[in-house]
Amino acid sequence: MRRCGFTLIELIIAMALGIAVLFVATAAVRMAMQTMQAANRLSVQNQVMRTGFLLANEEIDFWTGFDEPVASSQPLRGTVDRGLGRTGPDTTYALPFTELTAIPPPNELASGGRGFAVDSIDPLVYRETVFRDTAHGGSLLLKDRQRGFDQRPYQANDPRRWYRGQIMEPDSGERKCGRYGLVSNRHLGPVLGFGDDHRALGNFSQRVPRDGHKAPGVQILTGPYGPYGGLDWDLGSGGALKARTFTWYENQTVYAFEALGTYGMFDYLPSNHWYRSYGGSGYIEANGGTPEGDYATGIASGTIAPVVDRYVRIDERPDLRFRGFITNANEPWYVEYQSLGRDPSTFATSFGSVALNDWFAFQIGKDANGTAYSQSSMIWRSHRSLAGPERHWFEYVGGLRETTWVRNLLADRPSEWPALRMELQRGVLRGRQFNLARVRWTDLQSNEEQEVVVTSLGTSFRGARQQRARGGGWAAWYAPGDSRNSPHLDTPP
Amino acid sequence: MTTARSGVLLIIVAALAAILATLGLTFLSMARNEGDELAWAARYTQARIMLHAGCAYVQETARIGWDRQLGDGSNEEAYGWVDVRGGIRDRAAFASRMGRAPTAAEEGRFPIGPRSNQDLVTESGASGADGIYDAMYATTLAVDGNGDGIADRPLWPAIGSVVRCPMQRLERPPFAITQTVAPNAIANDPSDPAFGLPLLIKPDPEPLFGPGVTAASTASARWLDWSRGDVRPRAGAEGQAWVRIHRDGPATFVITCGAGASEGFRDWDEVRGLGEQALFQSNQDIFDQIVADEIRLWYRIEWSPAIAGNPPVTIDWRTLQLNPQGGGSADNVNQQPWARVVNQGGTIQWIQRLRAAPAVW
Repeated sequence: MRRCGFTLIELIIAMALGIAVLFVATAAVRMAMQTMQAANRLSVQNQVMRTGFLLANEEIDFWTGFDEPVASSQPLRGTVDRGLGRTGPDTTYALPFTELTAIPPPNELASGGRGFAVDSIDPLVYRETVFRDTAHGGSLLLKDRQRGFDQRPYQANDPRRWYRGQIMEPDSGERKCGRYGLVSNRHLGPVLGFGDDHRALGNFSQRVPRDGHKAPGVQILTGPYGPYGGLDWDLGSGGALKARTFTWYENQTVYAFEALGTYGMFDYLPSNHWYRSYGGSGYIEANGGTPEGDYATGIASGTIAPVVDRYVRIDERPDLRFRGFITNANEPWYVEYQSLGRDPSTFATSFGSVALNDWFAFQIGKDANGTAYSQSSMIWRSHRSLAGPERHWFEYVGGLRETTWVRNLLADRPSEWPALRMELQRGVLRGRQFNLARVRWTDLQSNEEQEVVVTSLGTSFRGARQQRARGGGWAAWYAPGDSRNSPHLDTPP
Repeated sequence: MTTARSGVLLIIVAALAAILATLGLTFLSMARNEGDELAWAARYTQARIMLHAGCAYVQETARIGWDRQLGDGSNEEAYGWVDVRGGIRDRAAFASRMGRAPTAAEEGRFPIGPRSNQDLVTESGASGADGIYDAMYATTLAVDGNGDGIADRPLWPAIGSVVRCPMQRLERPPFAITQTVAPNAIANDPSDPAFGLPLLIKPDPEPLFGPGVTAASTASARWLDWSRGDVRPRAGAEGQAWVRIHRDGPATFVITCGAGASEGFRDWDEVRGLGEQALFQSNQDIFDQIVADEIRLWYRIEWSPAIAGNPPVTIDWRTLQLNPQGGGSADNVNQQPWARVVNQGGTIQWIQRLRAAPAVW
């Protein structure tokens, strides 16, 4: 008889095989699904990471976090009070993205400017660049001394940019750093330099002119920087020695600082410029220290103003001095002779005006909680006091954190995407500009915070200003001299 | 087993296989997509790295402190892209005032003076040229950059010129050195006659020669081999990235950073103008596809003659810790954290990313 159905053994075997197949299949599907989920998470995280990486680099190149050209978020335009407790000229800083045409002019035209010096340089020797003043209908040609800060660097063949030191000199004084009193002097008087400068400079003051001749009635310019006959073009017609005042550099440096702060000074001043000037009407120690000379009197009378900060002095003694290394704690005046360069490798060569170990950063002000913007504290300032040569690096770190710009990215991201945050720090450290972006998100698998650090070379501050059109929007660039180029924030009036 | 049962089983197995295959294909597709996006990010990164290369090229070709060799064996002194020699004093005004022409020293000039091709005009309107040719200021149009058969730009490095720099690993770069750390290791075998002697027999570092060059080769042959290297691209290293530099002013440059295989040619017209069609199999479609797949970034920079060097430290950006190198100075002698190093390349004064390609690049 033909048997229908299965035997019990067959059924058991079949069920066992079926269960095994189903189990394996279910496990395979489950693993595949888990793998897909993990792959999805990884994919999302990779997309988040790439997005953050791209946005960080784009931010480094376009600075939109600090200034959005096509929107109303422009907290770094306009001016802020410098906290001098008075009103009037030279009492405000321009914020970093203020148009050049809107930067408060120096007080030069109004009252003769800081101090009393005017250029007496021989225009045949030192060419002055004229500058048409549109405020006067375009008819008045202003000279260097009148217009203050000029964002356009002078050509390298302009002697005012030249380095005048001798790097091979063994000491760290004027011979090494350059006798810039010869070409950067605001003082009309015959003597340049006195006081403690002598001690460090080896008493050059009593030297006679190099030709050994002192004509009757002729001023002998002495002082620690020696006689000035060498520059006088009248030597050939009688040997007269004249005081020369050269205000261009001092104007450029101080006004650059006044206009755009330390960062602006770093980014704009001619590269081969010096850091000192001489002359002025008073000793200025704006922040701490011992008031000397007629500083207090000058402030009280309003004839002088603390122009930069505590590291900058305007005086007959060598100045625009930026803090440097104190090579001998008992001889603090050595500081001023350590001419610090834009780069530490140019230490003691008078290039640049940024101290070696100083650093500064862009800062958008925050409230007490460190989160919100505050107009009153949007001060574009340096943090040099935080990280001086005698300080430890962690102070720098603390200061850097203080200036960190934080932005939450991808506000409209899909719900399954993790939050993405970027922290950006811009600054100058050890003479180098840096852009440091941290992109952070939460790992979807481990729930731990992940981070990518980006330190790209990109647009500098000055480049960012040139990217922005005067009046708003992005500036178009085609080619030098192309009429289609947009005027940008640095385009002169 | 009946046919019906077999069919059911087949359906089940097929369905499961289809599910697995679908999942697998989806996974592979996602992986492929991820790979493409990652490749894009890698190209973007590569293009940004080219900005470093472009800036370095501008600095290294700035010729600060050196220039071409003169016939007498000496070298000209040079001052970079913006040469200071020229137009600093007004000869005519000086002559009018002093009754004589200024000496070169009074003018602040160095013996070779301003260059013939340097279009400098003094305040009196006189040209300061002295008849000496200088390629940095050449105005002769010599390159057909748009394929119309007419030269429209000068040779590099004159103002208005362009240089293309495809970047690839070379078989052996010029002046390559070996990776031998201690070419003059002190012998530690007592039986060695030189045991314990710090002999400096070999150069340190050692030059890397090509095959066929041995110690028996002549000095000139060894020098030629070493200085020339083997500049053939390594297999697989071509077509990755390039940098192209256009000098649009005395010291301003447009740096185009590219990641792709176009070798820095702007467009097919330029390829034709330069007669380099063979690089792309004389097929414009191939070139256009390459360009379409490329990432190109445009930057404008200004070079300055500040002779800044590299800080002798590295910065660990994770911890913000400064790590001195070489004991804090480049020469291991001065232990202070600054170096008396002066570079020969100048400084990049500013960098500006351009939002779109400029008219000329």
